[in-house]
Amino acid sequence: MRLAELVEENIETLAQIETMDNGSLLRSHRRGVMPRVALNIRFFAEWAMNELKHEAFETRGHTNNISWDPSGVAVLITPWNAPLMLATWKIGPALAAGDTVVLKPAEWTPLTASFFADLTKQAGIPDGVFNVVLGFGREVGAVLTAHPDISRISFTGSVPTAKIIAHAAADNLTPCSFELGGKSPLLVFEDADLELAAELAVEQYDNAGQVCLSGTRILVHESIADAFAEKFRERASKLKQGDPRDPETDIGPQIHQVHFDRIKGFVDRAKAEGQDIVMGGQPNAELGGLFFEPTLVKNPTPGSEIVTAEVFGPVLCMQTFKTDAEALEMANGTEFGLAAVVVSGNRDHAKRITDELVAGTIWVNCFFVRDLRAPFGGSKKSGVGREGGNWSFDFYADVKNTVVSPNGWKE
Amino acid sequence: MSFIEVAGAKVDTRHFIGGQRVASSQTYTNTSPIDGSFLGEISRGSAVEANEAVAAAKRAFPAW
Repeated sequence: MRLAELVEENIETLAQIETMDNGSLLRSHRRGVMPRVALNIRFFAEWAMNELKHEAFETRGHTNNISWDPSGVAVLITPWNAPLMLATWKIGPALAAGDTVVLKPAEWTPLTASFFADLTKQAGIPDGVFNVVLGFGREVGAVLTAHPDISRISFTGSVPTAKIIAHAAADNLTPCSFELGGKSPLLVFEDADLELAAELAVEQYDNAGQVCLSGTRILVHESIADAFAEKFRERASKLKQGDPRDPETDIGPQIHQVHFDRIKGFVDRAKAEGQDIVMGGQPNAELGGLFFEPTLVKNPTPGSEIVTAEVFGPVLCMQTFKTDAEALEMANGTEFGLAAVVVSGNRDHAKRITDELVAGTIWVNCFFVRDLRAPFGGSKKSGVGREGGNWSFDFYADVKNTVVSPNGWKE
Repeated sequence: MSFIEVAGAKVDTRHFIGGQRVASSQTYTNTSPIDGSFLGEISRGSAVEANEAVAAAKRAFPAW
């Protein structure tokens, strides 16, 4: 609790450091992200104390007592796109479950993790309970994840890295929780509120597209496609790209030259294939550096790279469908299953669609509403396991059932 | 150099293991994506620090 207070006292400092280190908007860090970091810590501590219980049930007079015991050392490996936010999604429940922690933040964004370590010390968390090791995955992460003395690995990042970690964990059968990428659909039906749909679609450029949950495949009913595209263009053209410390800025830079080149590679290959790039498609010449223009690819060839691979940049695809069945086939026709956004004006219609979508989280007429009590994670290649509320403790703790007989007591 | 100044705040560039700051002999350069400006040289961990961190966490576990 003291730790959450210390985060709150340092919101401005943490926001400034994070923006310098990862290039995300300072106003988001101040208003949303860093207060959320404090909540991540407080929520899971309170959940462990007050909410983590089970319904009493008996088996022929025997009582089942279920407990969530600490499991040991949790290794947490976290990404650069929302460094302290995503780290504390894991640190909060791991510490609350009674585990001790070794955190390895992404090498491109080590600073808030280090600053946070100072806060844990100030909060009086005993030495060794929370540790931070800085450096590269192949040098540090590889050793941590293969270590026989750890009890859990929680990783947020890319599918290829998750596979390397799963291999490293295999020898010790260390349980892994993976939150991975996506190529999530944003479905706009013929009965949708088009203003809302356009607003939600343009939000998918947030954080310069470096969001695992982004609905990067905009699927629109053909009858409203032109009207929607017009509203989308109108809103997207107003996005201001620039210095993330400027309160007017909507889209900042990409994280790193290596990643920038990767995004540019995707777009250049799409161009070479003759895909129809109707907006952006190139580095922002005026700003230079790591700024890539918000990009829209219209009607990409089904199965092509730009519409199947996770770009993790400000690159969206727009496709049309004729029927619900076709929309669902397109939406689910991916190796990922992290999230989906459904925009419809009819509850029954929306329900029929969400019943059939394969995704860990579906937002209907909204985006990015995240309650820490709810499960979060991905289907298919978007992840293994769920975190949030009890689901977090089911992972970080050793869940134990003690069955007590009514017989045999001498007292 | 064990500290850098970022936006007016002091940030340690070393690992945090067993409640202590530990430096590596190797470092890597961290830059800001905003303008490519130099932020600092960061401790570049190896198997040594990874093993130390797990050992520290293991020692601290029973009491936590």
